[in-house]
This record gives sequence, structure tokens and C-alpha cells, in this order.
Amino acid sequence: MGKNAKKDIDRIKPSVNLSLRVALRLPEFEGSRSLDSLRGIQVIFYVDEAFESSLIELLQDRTILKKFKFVIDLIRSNKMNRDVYGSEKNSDKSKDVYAIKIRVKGNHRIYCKEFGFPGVRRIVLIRHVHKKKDNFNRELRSLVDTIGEYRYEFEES
Amino acid sequence: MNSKRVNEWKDIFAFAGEKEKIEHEADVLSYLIAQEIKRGLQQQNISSKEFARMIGTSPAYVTQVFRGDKRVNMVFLAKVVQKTKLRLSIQIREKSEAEPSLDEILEIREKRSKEPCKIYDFVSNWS
Repeated sequence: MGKNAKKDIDRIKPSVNLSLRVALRLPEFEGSRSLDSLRGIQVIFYVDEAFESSLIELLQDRTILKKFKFVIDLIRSNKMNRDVYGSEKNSDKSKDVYAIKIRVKGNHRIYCKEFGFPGVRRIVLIRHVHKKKDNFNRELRSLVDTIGEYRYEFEES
Repeated sequence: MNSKRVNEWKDIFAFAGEKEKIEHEADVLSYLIAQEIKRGLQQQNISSKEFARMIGTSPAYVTQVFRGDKRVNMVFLAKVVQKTKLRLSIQIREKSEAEPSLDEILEIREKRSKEPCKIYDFVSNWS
């Protein structure tokens, strides 16, 4: 191994996962007619392949599902506020990390990463956390920074 | 995503019936009205807590309304009109023929995404 190659490897922090993760595109759904005319920029939702089963399991609860669809619909039309969907930035690493906030049957967060493309926003749903309190503790700060470094291969269905 | 999973997601996203669909529409309408009230209050520098005091309700209830956990009702709206300087402007109209549906918007976007990027794409995305 050449001297320069060794240097490059040394620069890569062991905690950083550089491999591409897979984001699966979620199908469109019928939303509110009151929001139809507000949907300008296309927002496409994906789910991290590794999170898909857990998310499906979470959404088996009708009360949580109802709120989830409500928030998703608001995001699609850019009508959300920070009470339902907000930035979870902890550092520059997590500048694109957001959370869907569901406050029914507990205090649920679905952590997401946003990817901006011309005319399109891609939002990948990555991780569910059932928060005990509203505080942003060390564990969560570490989680959002980790998620912020995820890179994706977008798989269209 | 395999077709079985796609169907599973379609089932998850589908409304269980007409009642659920109407409930969803009601939640969205209430939220939109609540956001307008919130914006009006912010323009007048009135906090949610102060607003709750003005209309004789708890701050927790106001928070729940503003984040869409509770619906705005007529009594709530009446209190907004009676107890604050905010006024309602009501408009109910027929959907304009020129107004594109969601499917039409998505189709336009789909076509545009296959074309080379133009400067206005960046402007609309980053402004």
C-alpha cells in the first residue's frame, strides 16, 4: 500500500458509514382536497429499507397511522409547522435531519433525512423513537448526527 | 420494493372508508384555520399563553389546536372574533377549471424532471 493511500484511510473516521443505503419509494396516497392546490414542489417519500418493517408495524396502530397521514399530507403541501415536522439539527452533520412528531399514544418521532433536487424534495423515513421526554439528550444528538451522514441509493418502485 | 410490499403500503395509506376520509379532511381544514389564527396572533405579538387567557381556555388546549391534535370549533372561532382584534374572512368557492388537480401537477413535474435543469428550477427550490 502506497504512503498516500494509507493517509487517505487514516482520514476516514471508523464511526462513519460510507456505504450507500437503500431508500424505497412509497406509493402516492389520496390526501386532503383542501391541500391539492397548494402542492407546488413535488415531495416524494421513501423509507430506509432497513426501517420498512418496523414502520409498517408502527403504523398498524390506527391512531398513530391517522396522525402520520395527517402530517405527511401537510408536508406534501408545505403547510407543516415545527410542531408536527421540524429540523433536528445538532451539528453540520445533521443539517438535513428532520422529525415527524406524533403525539398520540406517547411521544413518537420518526427521524428523516431530506434531499433537495431541482423541483423535488426527497424525504427518507429512517428511524422511529418513542421519546419519554421532549428533551434532546446525548443519545438523540448522536443519532441525528449518524443519520445526517447516511447516503442513499433511491429505488423507484 | 416488490409488488406485495407496494400493495401493503397502498393498503396502509388507503382510507378505511368515507368516514375516515372526511375525518382527515376535517383535521386538515381545522389545522389550516388554526395556522391562520396563529399567524394573526404572531403579527400582533400575542403569545399562545396570552391568547389562552384572553379566550378563557387553557394554554394546553390552545397548543393542541395549533398542532392539529384538537379541532377548531365554532365556539373557539367565535371567541377569537369576540376577544381579539382578529376578524374572519370567509370564502367558499367552486373549484376553478384552471386549477390543476394533484395528478396533473405531478404529471407536469414528472415531465419536467426528464428535461435538463433550468435556472428557475434552482430559484424555486432554493429561494
